[in-house]
Order: sequence, then structure tokens, then C-alpha cells
Amino acid sequence: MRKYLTVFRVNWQNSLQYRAPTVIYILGYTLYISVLLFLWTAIYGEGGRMGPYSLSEMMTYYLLQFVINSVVLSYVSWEIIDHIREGFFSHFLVKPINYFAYWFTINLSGKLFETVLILLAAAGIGLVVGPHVAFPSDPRTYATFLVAAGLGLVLAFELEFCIGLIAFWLIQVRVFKYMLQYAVFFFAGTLLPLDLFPRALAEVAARLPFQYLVFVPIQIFLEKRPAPLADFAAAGVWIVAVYLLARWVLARGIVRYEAVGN
Amino acid sequence: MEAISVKGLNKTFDYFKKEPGLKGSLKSLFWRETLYHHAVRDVSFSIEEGELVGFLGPNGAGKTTTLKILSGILYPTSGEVTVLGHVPWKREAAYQRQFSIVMGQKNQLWWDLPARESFALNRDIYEIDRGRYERILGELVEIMGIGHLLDVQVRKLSMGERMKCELIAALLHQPRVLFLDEPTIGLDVVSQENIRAFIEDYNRTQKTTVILTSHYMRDVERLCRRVLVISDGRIIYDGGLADLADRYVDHKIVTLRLGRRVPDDVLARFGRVSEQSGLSVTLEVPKKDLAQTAQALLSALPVEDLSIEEVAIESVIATMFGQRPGDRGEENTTAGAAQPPPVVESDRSVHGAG
Repeated sequence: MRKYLTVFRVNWQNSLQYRAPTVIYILGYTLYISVLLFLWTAIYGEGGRMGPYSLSEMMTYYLLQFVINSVVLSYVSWEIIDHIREGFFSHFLVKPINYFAYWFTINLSGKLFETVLILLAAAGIGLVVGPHVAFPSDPRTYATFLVAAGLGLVLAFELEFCIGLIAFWLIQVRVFKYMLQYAVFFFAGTLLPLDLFPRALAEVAARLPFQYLVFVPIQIFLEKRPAPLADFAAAGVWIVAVYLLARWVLARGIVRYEAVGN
Repeated sequence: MEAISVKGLNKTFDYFKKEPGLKGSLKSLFWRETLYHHAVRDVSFSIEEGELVGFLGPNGAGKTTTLKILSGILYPTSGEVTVLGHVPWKREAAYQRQFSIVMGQKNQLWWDLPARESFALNRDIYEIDRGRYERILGELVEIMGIGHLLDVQVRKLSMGERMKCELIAALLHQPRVLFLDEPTIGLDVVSQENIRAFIEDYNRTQKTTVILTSHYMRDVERLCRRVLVISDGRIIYDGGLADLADRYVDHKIVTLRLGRRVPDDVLARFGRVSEQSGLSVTLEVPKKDLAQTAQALLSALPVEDLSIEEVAIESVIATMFGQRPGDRGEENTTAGAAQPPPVVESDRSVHGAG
């Protein structure tokens, strides 16, 4: 286990080398989310109402989405792709270390600094739109939300890991990767709550695993999910399924890598 | 004891032919012609524990492919390989803890962090206990003389310093077998020499089995008593470096300084004139007539000075690969050639792998 603690520590130090870009990214994203919040305020101010959401619930949805986007969602596929494409993957084939566990650790430690920043930024926005944030009435909801977000984090990583592994087969993987990543985020509910989708699309989204990354945790926070335990079970099944998929894809990828060299 | 055994090793890469342009891309979606590249053909050799062996050969000859198979990065198309009793491509942790590969062009050090961090990471990946780690690191750092660089970001190090750190990172777990793929590539002459001295010393004191590939003839000349020459995937020579010249070259180099000019046709009677500038003449003289010819030269020509030398090893290699001496061996071997060869080695297969 110690090797992964060291991976965590080393990568954490490495990510601190990129403090400035992270700060700039968070500032830009803060601006974007603020504009969205103003937009929703204006829409609701005209007397509109979006499906089952009150203004404060909508504000809360986007504020949480803002945090989850950095804390739960994973962005390691780019690094994985570079690794495979440029042949650095070879180092992992000659060392006693598990590739999946390695990237899981990198994923976690890479988020640490960003998480601190995003929580600060969210608190700042929260102060401004404070009166409109819908806090759960039941204190146990916070714990349920954290569990849901934790499951989302694992599932998000697994999906992102699989996307990265495409590099074993495709050299020009960039376009494909973005397409998949946006599809995942779209069906996760980052752009719009899934229950505001047209019915047919909402039906599709409800059958996919991606909802457990963003939509379901936020619904739990808003106390709109009747049976969070059933959600946990479903997310758990997906986690196991995608893990098995990731292992299978990795094994196939290694066979491919061994075959073509690099 | 035998450390490495390779029997009938073959590796064939298949890749797809793609016609140029958009039309070619579209066509290749539906129909692709498969091409085969035989990177390694029926290669067999055996290496004893503690040996330091050089792999020689031009780009794409199969040197790197062979090392990758021995490391478990690639699996062979056919053949049997054991290293320290393990089959490399099973990638057992028990094997991984006993060998290391240094790829001159694929760093394992973390670019933005001091080398110390990468070392600590390898310490825990290889589960080296702290006391042993400190001792080994201390020794290696002292031999390499880089104590003051441990806390400097790797990206701020010179290439030579970086290669020293790469070697340290690879040796922390005290591998019994070490594969070095172009360890001196791109280094200046002094750094190359430092690295060579280190490898030589390390092999001698630690009894580590080492296979080295290099473009630089001097690496091999300095370090390896035994060489495997690979050309087009086949081993065309396996033996002592000194015997190479005997086996492949039938002449010696006779250099003359003359008292006055001698017509070319007169010189040509004694051997092939390979170089001539002013009163200095270099002749290639067949070995079997050497004594006779030397006498004849001395009596027939106004010779002020005469010397007889073996053909330089790089010329021998060039002859083996069917090139004229000087075509390409030269730039890699001249002491002043600090620049890396313009073409970076990568097996041809990579480009076809799309």
C-alpha cells in the first residue's frame, strides 16, 4: 500500500507545480457559473419555473455541479493517452505496480489543490447568492450526499480511465476522446438537470451510469431522491461492471501494445 | 551461471498500409493491406551472469525490440526466452524486482520534481527498505558525484546529469540484470565518458549482467568484450570484439610518409590507396602479403616513416553492413562528435502501427 501513498504524495507535489494555471482555470469557471446563476435568476424573475425546480434549488444545483465538476469528475485520460502514445507506458510493464491503482491514486491526489480552491470559490459565490441556496432540512442528507459523491468519484474515474485506454488503438485520439467525454458529462447532468431533458432523452439518461456522477448526488442533496440506498446499490453495480470493463480493455490494450511496440 | 537464454526468437510486427490523402484514409476504413515487418528473425544467444555484452547494428535492426522482449514489454511471435529463470512477458513481480531497463529516450524521472522524489517513488514501488535504500542511494550518488543535484528539478538538469539520475533510479533495487538502450544518446563527450566509466565499474564490482545497445562505437569498444551484431533482425556475429576485424576484414592499414611524390600507379601496385594528402599516403594491404609488401615498400619507395594498423572497428562494422567506411560510422565515432545522430532510433514498426 505504501507505494500508492508515495504516488499520492509525489503527484500532489507535482500538481503544485501548476498552481497558476489551476487558479486561472478556477477564476474563469467561477465567472462562467456566476453568469449562469444570474441567467437563472432572470428567468425565474420573469415568473418562469423550470419543472420541479424552485429558484433556490436551481441555484443549488449549479453551485454543487460547479464543485462536483472539479472534485468528482476525472480528467486523467489526457495524461493516460500521452503515456501510451509516447511509450512511457513501457515503464509500467517492467515495474511491480498496478496500472489501474496507479492512475486512481494520481486522479485523487491531482484533485487535492483544485478541491481546496473550488470550495473557496463556491463559498464565495454562496455568500453572494446565499439566500437562494437550498440546504437540506435533514442533517443526515449531508452524509448521504457524501456517499453518493464518493461513489460518483470512483465511477467517474473508471469511465475516464477507459476513455484514456483508447490510445492503445487510435493514434489520433483527441477528437474521439472529447466526444466521449462530453457525452459522459451531458448524460451526467452537468449542463442541465436530467429531468429537464425531453422525455425520451431523460428516459435514456435514467438507464445510463453517468447520472451517478452529478445528477443523482445533487438530487440527493436536494432531497428529491426517494430511495438513496437503491441509488447506491445501482451505482455499486455500475462500479463493478465498469471496473471489469476497464480491466478487460487494459488487458486487450496491453496485448495490442505488445504487438505493435512503441 | 546462465543469466539470459534466447532460443529461436522471432518477432513480426504487422501494420497497415495507408494510401496518402483523404481518399486513402476513407479507403483504409474498409480495406487495408496488412504488411509485415520481421523485426527479429530466429535469434539465439546465451549470456552468462556478470557478462557485459554489446548489441550493435543500424537503426531498425532489432536491437531495441530484442531488449523489449527481454524486459517483458513485448511478447515474441515465437521462440523461448528465460532471464534469471523467468519468462519475461509473464511480467512476474519476482522478475521485475530483479532487472531494470534504461531507455535513453524514455525517461522515468518526474520532469517537474527533483530526482529525489522519483527515487523515493521507486523505493516504494520496489519495496526497498529504508536503511538499504539510503545506503545504496548514498553510494550511487557519491560515485556519480551528483549529491548537489538531488534537490534540483529534473527539467533544470543537463542531459548528462539527467542520465546519471536515470541510471540511479534504475539501480536502486540492485537489479541482477540491466538493459541499457542507448544510454549515452545525445550526451556530450565528457558525459558519455562518465557514463561509460560508471557502467564499466558497476558491472565489475556488482557482477550485474548488462546488455547495452548503442549507436556510439566507443561505448561498445570501451565496455564490451563480447558483441552481438544484429542486422535486419538476424544475429550476424556473436563473439569477441577483437576477432571481428580478423573475421571480416582481409587487409591492414599501412600509412606512409614519403620523401618525395610518387606516381599513383606506382603506389597502386602495393595496395589500394584509400587516402592521399601531399606526401602522406594510406594503403589497404592484404594481410597475407603484408610482410612482403612492407619490405617492398621500404626498398622501392622513398619512405620516411611507415606504420601498420588494424582497421578501425567502425570500419569493420561498416563493411559488415555493406557501407563504405566513413558513410555513417564516422560521425558516431569521432571523438569530437558530441551531437546525437540526426535520426532518432525507433523501430520502424511504430510508424506503421496506426
